[in-house]
Amino acid sequence: MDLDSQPFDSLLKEKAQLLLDNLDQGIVSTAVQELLDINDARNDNLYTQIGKITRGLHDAIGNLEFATGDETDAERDVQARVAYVIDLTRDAANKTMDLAEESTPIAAELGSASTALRGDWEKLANRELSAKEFRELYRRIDDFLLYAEDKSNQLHSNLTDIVVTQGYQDLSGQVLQKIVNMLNATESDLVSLLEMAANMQTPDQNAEVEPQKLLTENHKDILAEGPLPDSAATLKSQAEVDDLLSNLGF
Amino acid sequence: MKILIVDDFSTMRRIIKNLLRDLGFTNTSEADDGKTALPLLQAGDFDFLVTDWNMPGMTGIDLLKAVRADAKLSDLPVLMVTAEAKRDQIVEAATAGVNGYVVKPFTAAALKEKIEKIFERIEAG
Repeated sequence: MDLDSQPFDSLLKEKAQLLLDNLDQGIVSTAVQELLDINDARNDNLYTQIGKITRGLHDAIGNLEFATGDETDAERDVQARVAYVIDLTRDAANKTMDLAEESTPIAAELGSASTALRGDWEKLANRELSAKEFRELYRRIDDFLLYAEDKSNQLHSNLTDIVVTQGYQDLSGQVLQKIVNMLNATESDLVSLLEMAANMQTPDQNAEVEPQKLLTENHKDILAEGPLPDSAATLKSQAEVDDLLSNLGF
Repeated sequence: MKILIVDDFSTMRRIIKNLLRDLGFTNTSEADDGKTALPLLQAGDFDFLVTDWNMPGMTGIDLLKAVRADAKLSDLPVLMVTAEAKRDQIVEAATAGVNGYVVKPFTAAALKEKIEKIFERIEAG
């Protein structure tokens, strides 16, 4: 029988029975040998468990990237992503407020210009205007219509820009989702390590744990792409994307 | 002109819907990933598809491939509006038969330009 592949508890039962049989029959030297075999098997089992935990620890450390220096790539990556979200939200808030601040006086001017015209317009309706005053009012209304058209275009453009600026929610959401996935994967690594350490106290029950597989599965999500700050492979502008597409015949 | 907007973030769907309305396209529908979009496309008479790339369930690139593989939908113009800006991703989208590619964050002018360009090409046929 191959001692290495036999589960420790079945081997223990078998050897214990042989030990008792040999003792019953008074074959002490064989009984002692059975005892030594049990001890060897126990040591082997212990080494196997220690080996598994060492490998699990090594894999977990590799994945967590705690191994080198004060700041690891993973930490720097998370920091870069969080900084990106901070920049993105700050820029979007500033841009939205700039556009609102620019639009508020335009709305106020349109209102006050309308109020000023309405006074004279009422006079016209009441036939209180002289011919000269009427020509003056006609010119002012002409100016106002041009002015209103121009300003309403500007308000429309500002409102559209405000709407487009809200796209930061999508981009920051994608980045935060990625950070959450990384934290979940890290937590799973730590939990699987903890489980292996706990199972150390009851050898053999741990035989099915495959840390490498567990870790690989947990890390699948991180591979998803998304907004990547300062990635070498990322094109920086729509113009670069357009160039690439036109090179491809588009 | 019936347009389907596919993005998992409702804010982005609203933004694109707003911009399309500004361009005079008011007949729009929405879906939050490729899996829900594909049956809508197969059942409805859509003239244009605007889709994100990175979505749970079924991604935009898979949706694009499914559209091109479907005899009924294979000619549907597709505009990708996405944060995916890696060279090989853009090449993949182009290979899969995308009609336009806009990277987020985008400006209203950029989106308008791409949409108009796609329609010009369709009309030139």
